[in-house]
Amino acid sequence: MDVAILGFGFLGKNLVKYLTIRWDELKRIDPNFKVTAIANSKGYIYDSNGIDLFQLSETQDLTSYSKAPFCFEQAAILIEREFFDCVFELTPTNVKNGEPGLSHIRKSLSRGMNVITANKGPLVLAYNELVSLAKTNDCLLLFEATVAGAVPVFSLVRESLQGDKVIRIQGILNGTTNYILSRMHYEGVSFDIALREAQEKGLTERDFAYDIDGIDAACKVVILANAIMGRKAVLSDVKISGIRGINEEAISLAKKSGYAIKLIGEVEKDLRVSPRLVPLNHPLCVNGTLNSVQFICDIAGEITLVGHGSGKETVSALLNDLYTTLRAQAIKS
Amino acid sequence: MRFRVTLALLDKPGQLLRALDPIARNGGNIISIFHERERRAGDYVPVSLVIDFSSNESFNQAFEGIKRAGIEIIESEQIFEKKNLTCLFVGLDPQNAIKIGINGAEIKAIEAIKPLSNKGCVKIEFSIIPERLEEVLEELRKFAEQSNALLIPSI
Repeated sequence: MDVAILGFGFLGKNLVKYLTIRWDELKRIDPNFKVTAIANSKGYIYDSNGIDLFQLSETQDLTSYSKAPFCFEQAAILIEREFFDCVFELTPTNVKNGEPGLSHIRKSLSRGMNVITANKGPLVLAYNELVSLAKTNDCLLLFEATVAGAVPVFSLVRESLQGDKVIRIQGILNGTTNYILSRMHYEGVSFDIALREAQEKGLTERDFAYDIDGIDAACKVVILANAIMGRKAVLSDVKISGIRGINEEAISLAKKSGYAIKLIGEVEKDLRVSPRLVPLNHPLCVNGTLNSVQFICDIAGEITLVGHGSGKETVSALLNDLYTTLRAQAIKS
Repeated sequence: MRFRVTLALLDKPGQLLRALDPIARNGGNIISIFHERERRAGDYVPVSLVIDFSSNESFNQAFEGIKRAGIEIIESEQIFEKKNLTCLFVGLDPQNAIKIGINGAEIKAIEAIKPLSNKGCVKIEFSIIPERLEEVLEELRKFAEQSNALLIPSI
């Protein structure tokens, strides 16, 4: 399997690191497994014999990689010219027009290349189109990393709840707001201070409004609704209310009554992101940057997953999708 | 679904069995039976039954069956089990909190906190019929919007 990695930021670099850690295992599954291209926003390195990930892991810089030249050309041109069995689309999320990720995914799927992505934008804007494109071209589009990071949301439903009907999904889908609300709850700090702390720790998106106004969580609600509940939802279908208005008085009254305030995303009849009072002993009530997702199923009842919604742990979701793709390829051939 | 049905039964052996037959045939699960002998009227004794049915339809069929058996039904009603809904309203004037009137939601308690900043917060505990939860939440959202307050309901 020839693999391309589009996007060499935090996730891309950590993916390369964990590919080296799992290298022997991956080679056992597919002796021809290799990463032949890695791109960032400026250009890419390409080697049809495989990039030396061990060397790249040390420098973490594409331009200083010594075994292949750095081409100052867009990744879109690369995926048009070369063929990859699997493309990791890890460019930054853009919910306005989905680019450049949307074009990367469209192009890859159109050419019959499997796609694994952590990029929410393209799925929020064109989920049904992309799924249909994957089906037409007999390839996989996997996106475990787009919702709740390392928490295996889609794999769980796909593999382990095949006989169930998911009636409702609710959860803490944004780690940044959970961090802010947890700091306010346990340390009694104000919203402004908790937000500043989150920014200093690098937990917020470039535009922090994307987190605190509930847009990020709403994107995940759209993906969950489409992928798990078979809806045809778009971002404007989600009724969104963020956490800006939450003050110390609200936190204090909630705490006194045995609740914590959490930004909850819900997929039921309506799609909604809003602050809710969650009982302190409720399985969804997790703190810090953790995410939690609860499925209410017709047979299994309630199932709650808790885990890291961002950070290097997200690589777990990317690797799981890679293993799924490798096995699917093996069955095909 | 839980129902309370009060029947006027002749005070002689075997009368209750006639009433129970249509209930059993329609899948009714009897939770309690109470003979209200203090309300006896002539030869008749009111008997109050609490029964669970899977649907309104099965209840209606049992109801018709009891009538067909010649038994008078004094009264019948659905019993709604209520649940608590706790809501915070950030920025709501406590004076306005008592004006809140939501159909299907009964106010059990109101608590306000002295504002540290420019916006206070009011907690209201409601007792609601679970089946009406979505409608109640929608009305509460409208009330919050009109009051320029942020609603934070319990999950």
